[in-house]
Amino acid sequence: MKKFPTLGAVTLATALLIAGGSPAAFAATAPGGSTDVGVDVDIAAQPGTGALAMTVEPGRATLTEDGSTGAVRQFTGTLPRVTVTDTRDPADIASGDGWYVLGSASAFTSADGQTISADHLGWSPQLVSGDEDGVSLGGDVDTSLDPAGGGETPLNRGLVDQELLYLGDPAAVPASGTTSTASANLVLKVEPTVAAGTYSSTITLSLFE
Amino acid sequence: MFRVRLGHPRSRIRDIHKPVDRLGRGLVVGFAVVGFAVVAYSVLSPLSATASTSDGHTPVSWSVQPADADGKADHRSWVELALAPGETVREHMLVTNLGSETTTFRLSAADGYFTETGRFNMLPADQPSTEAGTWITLPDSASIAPGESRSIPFTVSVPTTATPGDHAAGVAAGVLTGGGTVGVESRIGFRVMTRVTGDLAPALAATTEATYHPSWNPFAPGTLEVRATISDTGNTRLDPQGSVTVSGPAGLASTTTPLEGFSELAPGESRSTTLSVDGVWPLFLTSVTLDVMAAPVVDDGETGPTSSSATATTATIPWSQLALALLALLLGFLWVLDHRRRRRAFQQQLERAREEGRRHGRSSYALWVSLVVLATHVIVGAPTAVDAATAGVGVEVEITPQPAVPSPVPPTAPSADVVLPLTGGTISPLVAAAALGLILLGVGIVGVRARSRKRAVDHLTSGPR
Repeated sequence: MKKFPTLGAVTLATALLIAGGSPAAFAATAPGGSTDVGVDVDIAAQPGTGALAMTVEPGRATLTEDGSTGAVRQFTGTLPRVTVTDTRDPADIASGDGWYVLGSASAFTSADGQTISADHLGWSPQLVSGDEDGVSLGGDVDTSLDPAGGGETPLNRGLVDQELLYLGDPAAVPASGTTSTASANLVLKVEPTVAAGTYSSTITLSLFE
Repeated sequence: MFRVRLGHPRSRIRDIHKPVDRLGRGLVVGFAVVGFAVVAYSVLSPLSATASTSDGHTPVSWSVQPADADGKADHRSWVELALAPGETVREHMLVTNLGSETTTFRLSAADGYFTETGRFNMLPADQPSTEAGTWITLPDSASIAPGESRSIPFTVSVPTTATPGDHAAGVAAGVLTGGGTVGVESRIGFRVMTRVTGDLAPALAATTEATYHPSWNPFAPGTLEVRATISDTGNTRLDPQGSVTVSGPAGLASTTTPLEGFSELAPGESRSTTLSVDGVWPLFLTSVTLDVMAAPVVDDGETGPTSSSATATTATIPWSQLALALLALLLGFLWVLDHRRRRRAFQQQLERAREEGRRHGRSSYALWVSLVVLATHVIVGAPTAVDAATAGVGVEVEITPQPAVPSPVPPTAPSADVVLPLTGGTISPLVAAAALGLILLGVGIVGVRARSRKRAVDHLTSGPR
């Protein structure tokens, strides 16, 4: 009898929870739920034994003119941040190849039908956070208006199937998983003769393994 | 939004329960409500922190996996299918929204391919698929609540006209973010690799070319840059293993280097790689042989590996070594020429000097020598002294004083007066001193002249260089 108020509070809280959180039933079905509320949320969100997830920030990647010369008009911007979180058990990763985020740009098109081909866009991936041991950053890619460079493969191919982030060796991932956030400095270089207008392109970032 | 975050009702009740016991009964209900609010806030606050972005939208976070018919992730990295033409299968894609807002994901299927670096990718949205990507049917989009995992079924229908072999495609769930000049479509997907049953014909074509970069140092070998290209000309995906053998004429100095950088190839794809082989000596002709062996990635137990090789021959002329040899030859030739010319010049100088000497010899030489001889004869009293004076240089040496040679017998005791035994006469010391002085004068003049002539010859031979 003395416990009636306590019981009442519990009942109220339960009622509130049930009323306020019908999807909580889904979260509750996840295995390994703990008493810690914050942790419980994360576990509920990830099925099985971890996942390979990508998080993208919704920022804009507007290119603004910067550093143009008489020979080249240059526009720069920043790619919104991309985070890849790999919490899978390495034993469950069937492919020995790891994963990668590839970037490809479409041609820039203007409203009146003018186009600038995708090889005019280059990028320089930047690691914002994460461990560089397991996850590697893709190399810089120059535009077709830049010199080819002396290497085996020319650097001035433009943004076509270029790595932003990649995991080369799944065995290098610690048991707790790995999270890496990358961005990229974008640069568009066009000839000074290019027609004025508002051009737009889509960069497709693809996470495959 | 925060509803989904509220996982375990029980845990929360326990948290609330403890403070409740310590407090007065009358306040318990009120505190329980406050406690709930605190818990709810603590759950919510980290989310709102991450949700704050520049344009007020939350980040989108999600994962995509192949799933089984029950909608559970089945730990396949991707889907591998073996289907007959005309056959259809149903597969599942499990999309989990890990973000904090309900998100509509764009679902897509497209032709798959491997990039230059061997990465799998599928065509972007602005490029229409023509192959296996068109065999896949799936919904255009899926709106998924935060924390929800949804199994999205898709079908793979192989057309009856499909050719046997491997066909690459992929499926993905993505979001379009950004806007402005550059929109960003981010997508997570997995491969859907279909092998259409029938006759498998793995085939490979290899080509190679080589460029030689000689060293300018003739004592160092050069570098051979080998470009190797392989093409999958069959109908299966291939896992190529290659090596490059570099050798001189008749297999001389042969070295084999394993070729890295060739990754999986889909039918119709080509891959090139460049290899630098160091330590290659220029042997006029160097041959490069590319050997590639490739097994189908999906082994059906019957189809064996295929192989291909290609040979390229490149001229490796030892320019720097030849230049060095030529230089050595030229130097030797010049040395011989110079040696000969100098010898000839010396002979000429010598001849001229001799000629001059002979001319001089007849006058001054003979004069001075005759003076010496005369003086000697004055001393020894040679009777043929006059003849000798006209007889020239050589003759004078032959003349031996007849019995007039002084006795070699050492004087036992110095006597007061010098007796020349056989001439019989005595020579006054004054005459002897004058003769001696004359001899010394003659010798000195001969010497000085000889030295000056030698200098003249030296000057002539060394002068015109």
